[in-house]
Amino acid sequence: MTASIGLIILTEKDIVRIVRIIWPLFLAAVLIWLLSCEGGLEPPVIEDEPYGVILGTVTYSGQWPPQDSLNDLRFVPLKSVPAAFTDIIMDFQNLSFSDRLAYYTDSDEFFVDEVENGRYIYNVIAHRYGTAFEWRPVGVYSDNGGEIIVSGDTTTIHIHVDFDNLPPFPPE
Amino acid sequence: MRKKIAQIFLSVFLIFIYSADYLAAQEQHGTIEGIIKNESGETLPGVHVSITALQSGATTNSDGFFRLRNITSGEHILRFSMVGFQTITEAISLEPGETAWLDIELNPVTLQAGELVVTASRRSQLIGQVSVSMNIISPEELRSRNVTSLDQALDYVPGVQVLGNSVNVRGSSGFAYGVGSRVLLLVDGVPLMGPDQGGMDFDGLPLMQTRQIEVLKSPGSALYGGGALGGVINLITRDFPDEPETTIRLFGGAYEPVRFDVWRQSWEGAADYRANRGVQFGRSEQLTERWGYWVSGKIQDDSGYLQNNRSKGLELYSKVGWEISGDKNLSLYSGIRRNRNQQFLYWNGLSDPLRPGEILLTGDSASGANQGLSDRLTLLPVFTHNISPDIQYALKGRVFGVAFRPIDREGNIRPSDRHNVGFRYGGEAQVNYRVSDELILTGGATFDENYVRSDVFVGEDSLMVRNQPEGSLFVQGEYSWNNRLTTTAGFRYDAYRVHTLDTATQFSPKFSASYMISDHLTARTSFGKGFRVPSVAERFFNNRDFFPLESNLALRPETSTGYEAGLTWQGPVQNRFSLKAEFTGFWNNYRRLVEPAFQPQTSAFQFVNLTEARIRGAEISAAVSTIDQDHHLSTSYTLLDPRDMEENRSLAYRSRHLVQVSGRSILRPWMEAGADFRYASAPEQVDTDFSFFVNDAEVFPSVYVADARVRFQDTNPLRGKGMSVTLMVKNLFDYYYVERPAIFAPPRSYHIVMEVIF
Repeated sequence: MTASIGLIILTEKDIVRIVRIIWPLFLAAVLIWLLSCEGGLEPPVIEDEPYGVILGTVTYSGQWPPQDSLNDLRFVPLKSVPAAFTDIIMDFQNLSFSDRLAYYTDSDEFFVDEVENGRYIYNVIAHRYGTAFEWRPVGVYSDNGGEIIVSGDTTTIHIHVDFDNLPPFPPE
Repeated sequence: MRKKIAQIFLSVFLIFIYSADYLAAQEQHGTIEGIIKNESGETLPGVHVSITALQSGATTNSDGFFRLRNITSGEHILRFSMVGFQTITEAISLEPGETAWLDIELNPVTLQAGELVVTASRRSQLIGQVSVSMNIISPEELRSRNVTSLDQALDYVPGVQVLGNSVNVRGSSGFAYGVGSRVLLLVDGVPLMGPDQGGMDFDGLPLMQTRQIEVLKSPGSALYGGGALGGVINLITRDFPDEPETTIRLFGGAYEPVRFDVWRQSWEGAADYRANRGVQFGRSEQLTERWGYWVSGKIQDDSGYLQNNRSKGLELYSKVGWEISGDKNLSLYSGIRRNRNQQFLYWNGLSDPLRPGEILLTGDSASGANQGLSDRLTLLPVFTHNISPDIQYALKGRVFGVAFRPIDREGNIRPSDRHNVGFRYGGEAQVNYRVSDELILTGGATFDENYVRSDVFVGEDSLMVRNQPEGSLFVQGEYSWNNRLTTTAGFRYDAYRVHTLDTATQFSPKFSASYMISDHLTARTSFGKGFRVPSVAERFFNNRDFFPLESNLALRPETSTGYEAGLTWQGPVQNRFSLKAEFTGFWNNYRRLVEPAFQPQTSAFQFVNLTEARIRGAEISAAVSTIDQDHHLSTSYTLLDPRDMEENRSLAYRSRHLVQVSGRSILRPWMEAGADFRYASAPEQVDTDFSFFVNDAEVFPSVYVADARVRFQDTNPLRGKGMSVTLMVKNLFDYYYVERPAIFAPPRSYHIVMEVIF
């Protein structure tokens, strides 16, 4: 009996020989493969001080928006520059932000605890003017090139908001 | 008194007569002996030699030799049988005192070609004649692995991957949060998909009374309609045996505590071995020539390896068959199931994967776990009538009801307006007509109605009751041009209601051909179109209790076009092995694929017709057994290229590489060992929207899972038909992976199964 696949013609003996050679090789390969794979999921490595605190003051100038469009106002530090505000919302699970800031005031203070250690390059006072997804930046932190480096300690910053001269968004 | 004395005398007299007869017979005995070889002249050990009329028998030794002593002289029919060889009979005339010698030659049979399947063409045919990709799961495999739910059975089918409650046949489904399925589940050819979510129920099936599970791995919509877009799983229940059979199976086990302290710290239950246990039982019997039945059931309690993941359940199934006359049969399959389940929906992140998480979103809070009472009822009456040897028709009905009653945190059943009730009912008529030796026609019509009442299926129209009726006509012709070439062509025409009053139609043609190149090598090719109507849940689900989901009444059916070509080689090798090797290439295009996507406008997920996709790939598999079936090794590799054609990236939750290896050996007559291994590469793409709300939901590592088992069995007929004890370790290497997004898969677990069949 022979089996032909294309131009290759195999006799029964060939097939048995192939099977005899392949079996142990195959089993050995599977065993090596199994032993070489890692144990799968692991808990993430937790640093001794994985979080820091951002403490800040905000000052305001210009004409405040009307009451019916002042739905929320918070300080939000971000590790990347968003292309659209939905990018920020979509990363909601990883966001840190301050409590709601006071309206119609000249200045206010805020703090954000449990800010994950890292380099924050876009740090804004965010204003929700409509639905849950309608936000815009009204003030951007600009000292130190706009960067905040959180490394388990407390960082103090200052931001100014000029309602008559809002920062561009997306940032230029 | 006199009467009693007469009885004693009569008894003594009869004993004397029989004894004399026996002694006389001893002098009239002879011996039959011989050697049994295969066609190559090699001796065959282990062949059963019997004389049925005398209930006498022997087995050949290692030299292929057998001897039957004290055989009454006269004419006898000897039967020679061995797994893997054709059974033959031999007539012999034995003289008193003679020792007769026989030289017997047994010819091997091709084992796999003898397997009958029904799914590929809606009629019985040999699997070697099937022109589409198909695998069979045998009851031996189910028993050997102590399979208690369908997903466990599918884990080792080439090209099939189970992600939570989604079955992926060659990457068809991905993961869709348990709603909708691109693979259709049938029981005895009757669809059994949930009326509400359109998904499969892995638990509610009579696995103990299963003859085989057939897995069709190409679009099956031309015969089975919507839902068979990616393939079909058909559970065939067993017939009634001539001899009554009772099976009792006790099983128990425990999940090993996870090895990381940080995971154990957040939930005290994680430090303990978590138990699961249950009992399965079954009884089957042909009561009279016309009546037969089987029943089976399962009671199970699984404490779960996650917090809020306990499940308890009771299932009962039965099938009653009545042969009305020689050509008419009626059967009724019924099943009921009650489960009290805690459902773990998503974890609290990789730092705390054993506890459910929470979604905080613009003031709404959704919880990652729930619990409820779930009831299911199934009734499948079937009437068949063989009008003539060439014409047969079947009438099948179906009623499938589900009810879910949620339970609050205090353990109380919530008010009735929070209960969900769903029914799928319908029927079908099918005719099989053998027009000539070359042509077989199959045709029929189906009708189904879905009825669902639920407070979570409220769409823009604010209705709580949903109906989704559908009907179809199908026809198929198989033509055998000669002994080697068979072609099949057919179509199905479906009409279904997609909105309140709108009715849509779908035409699904198919064509396939198989050509037998040699006795062992077959080439096959097929083309088929498929479609799937979105389930009620995908269209109407509107709830934020556990996950923010919005309805989408404009959702349209998705369609597929599939092409496949393959080569199958099957046959004996050197009369020592039985080999089946298969190579298949496939190419499936999908349109309007329904996938969940986050909608920023509503801050919720919604099922949408997202994209066009193409899944192409190749699959190679081989199964080798010794001819006596004592040793078996099978392996398969599937390469997938799942592409989102609009986004030009990989489709979410599809692995590129799938590998499965299984082996089992009967090491001693009383001991069998087996091991299975499966690998699935990490998907290149996951649903990033989901990971925005659930911590680490994007984590989806490769899967390396190995299971091992050893089974001790006692088949002494004096102690019944068989007893066995199986020890199993699942996830032998304690590899941690995810069962589906944001759900930790079972860690290593230990199981013991005790089974008695009598």
